[in-house]
Amino acid sequence: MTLYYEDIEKGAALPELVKGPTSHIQFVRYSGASGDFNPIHTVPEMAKAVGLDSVIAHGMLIMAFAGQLVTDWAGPGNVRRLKVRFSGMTLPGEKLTCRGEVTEKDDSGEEPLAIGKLTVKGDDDSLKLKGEFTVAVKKRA
Amino acid sequence: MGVDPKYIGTKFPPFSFTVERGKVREFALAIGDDNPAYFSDDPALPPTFPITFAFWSDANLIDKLASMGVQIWNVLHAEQEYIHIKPIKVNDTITGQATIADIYTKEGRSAGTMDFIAVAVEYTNQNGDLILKENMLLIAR
Repeated sequence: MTLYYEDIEKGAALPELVKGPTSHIQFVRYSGASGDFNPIHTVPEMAKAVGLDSVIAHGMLIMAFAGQLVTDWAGPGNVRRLKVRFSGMTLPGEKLTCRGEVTEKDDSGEEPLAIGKLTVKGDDDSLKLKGEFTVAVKKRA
Repeated sequence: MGVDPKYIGTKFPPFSFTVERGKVREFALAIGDDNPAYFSDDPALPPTFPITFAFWSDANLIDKLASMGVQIWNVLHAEQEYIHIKPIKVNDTITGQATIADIYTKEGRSAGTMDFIAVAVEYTNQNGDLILKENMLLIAR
């Protein structure tokens, strides 16, 4: 379903996205995919040595979930800006809920844009990250 | 510990990465996003896919940070931003140029001070077009 600029309302929520539960295996897999082999994501002994209870997710994996929230709604390839501020660590086994909201529309530039904010939260409603997004959207012909 | 502000403005040597279809597929599987757009013959890229550019090239950003006295397992990722300017396709060769944009210290909420390191990266494609900007904020504990 194509998303049209005219149909987007300020304040409208993006369809919620639930991800996970995360797993140690997913962190290993994301290490390989991203190339970020920081051992606090993959080696339990190393995580404990720096004072963590277990391995933790890459912040960038959680940002990827935020990216999916936006691309599920606006389509891959339409994201013009994605910015997040990381808040809490994510452990293996956590289920995460991604939510977003349109805060602004702008058709003054080269392409019509929808601008919004998003959050990713854990089971206990703990904040993992919050962020901002800008996507390009088509206008009806 | 204290990261020396003399590194502000430091430009690292450019690094290059050619986007491969298998890498896009691997990345989509790792983040658990089954959007068919990532699995086609001419796939779109997930918005956070560019994390692979630095980690899978010869950027060696981790070694560069270490040379500034920052050990990766003591680094927290505070903020991440991607500004997508032009589409990136499979087989594109992307060149990144990273700069230390800022270094500053803040009092931590509990014990001691925290050093903030802002890294800005500009990416061009094989045609010399600016396609992506990345801003990263790291905290050295």
